[in-house]
Amino acid sequence: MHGRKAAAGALPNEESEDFILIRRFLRAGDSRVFRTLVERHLPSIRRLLYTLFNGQREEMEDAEQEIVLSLFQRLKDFQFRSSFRTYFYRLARNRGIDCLRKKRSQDRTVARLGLGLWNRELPGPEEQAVHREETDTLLAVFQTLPSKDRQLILMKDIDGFALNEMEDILGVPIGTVKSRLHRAREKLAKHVRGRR
Amino acid sequence: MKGRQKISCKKCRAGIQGIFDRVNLVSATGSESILKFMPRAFGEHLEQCSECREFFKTLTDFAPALVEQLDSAVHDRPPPDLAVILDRQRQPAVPQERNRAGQVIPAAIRKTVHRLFGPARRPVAALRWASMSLAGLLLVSMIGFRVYTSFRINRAIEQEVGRIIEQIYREPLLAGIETALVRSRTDISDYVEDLSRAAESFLN
Repeated sequence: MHGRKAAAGALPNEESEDFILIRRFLRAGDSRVFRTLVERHLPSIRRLLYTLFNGQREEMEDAEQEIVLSLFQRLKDFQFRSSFRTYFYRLARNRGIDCLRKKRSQDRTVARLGLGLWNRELPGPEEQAVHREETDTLLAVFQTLPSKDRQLILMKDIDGFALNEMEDILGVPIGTVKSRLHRAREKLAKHVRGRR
Repeated sequence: MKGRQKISCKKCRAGIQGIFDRVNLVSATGSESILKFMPRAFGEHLEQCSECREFFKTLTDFAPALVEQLDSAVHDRPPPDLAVILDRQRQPAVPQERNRAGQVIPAAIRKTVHRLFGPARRPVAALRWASMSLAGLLLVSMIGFRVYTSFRINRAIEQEVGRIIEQIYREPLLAGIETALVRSRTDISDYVEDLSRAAESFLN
């Protein structure tokens, strides 16, 4: 399973495979190589986007395209000093947050103009039932956590990043990462217990 | 917590978190395999304390279950269409990046504007605000000082001009003209009187 493989963390040979692909792409500019490179890391990026955008599909797809385009433009500057997985994840997170900010500002404008009222559709009974079912899942419990806590748990416990990699991605000291992660796990355990 | 326990709940949970920081919860095969990494005291505590046991079990069980739910939520669509994205990349620059003259705004200005007003994380944004406020404060104080100095100079000039005008009015330029006028007035009246007297004698 691709997702599982990505979740297991980047092994040294996986990293070197990434480097080989990047060098091949930079040498020949082959878009198929680029595609392969992106698809290797796409599951963890999609999980991150799901966490950032609360599962809103359209926004996730737009952000995904922005991220891939940004990677395409910046890959020539990759220094081969750090792991590509960390590099790509950091880029995706930063671009994702940019997209989220842009979307929030657009939403605020729409709300200010009162346009949202026209587009809002009330959920039908079936949708309400599906929603009720969805809120019982572990994923729904996870989504009730604050975004920062979700990201930390996702990075460490789902995508298997090491603490020093998280320090690199988040740009905060390792001690801060650790204490925030511990608090996030405590919250998650509390939320799960509360749902039982 | 009941019975004899060698470690506290707090210490046990901190220990559990420490283990979770080192192992990969998704690839770990259940709570038993993680227990192997832990000192015996933690295992004994978990046997006795139901709350810590639940905490441990929740965190060991949630990761594999969550990754499955997340993957089923996000992997039902194809990977992004690179051709479409690359087409977007080949498109010309967006209109906002051009000025009125139709010339491309220099990259340095664009970068500066982006650095100052573009989206950023909280510490960067805070730094920006601090530096921009400081720059604004400096600018305002410099302008204020300049305005104050020019106001003081203007006021000094006005005062000096006023003083000179006052002095001019106080000391007339043709000093002694009034006495001269008075003296000449008597001379004329004498002359007119002599003239009328001569005219009278001539007529008589």
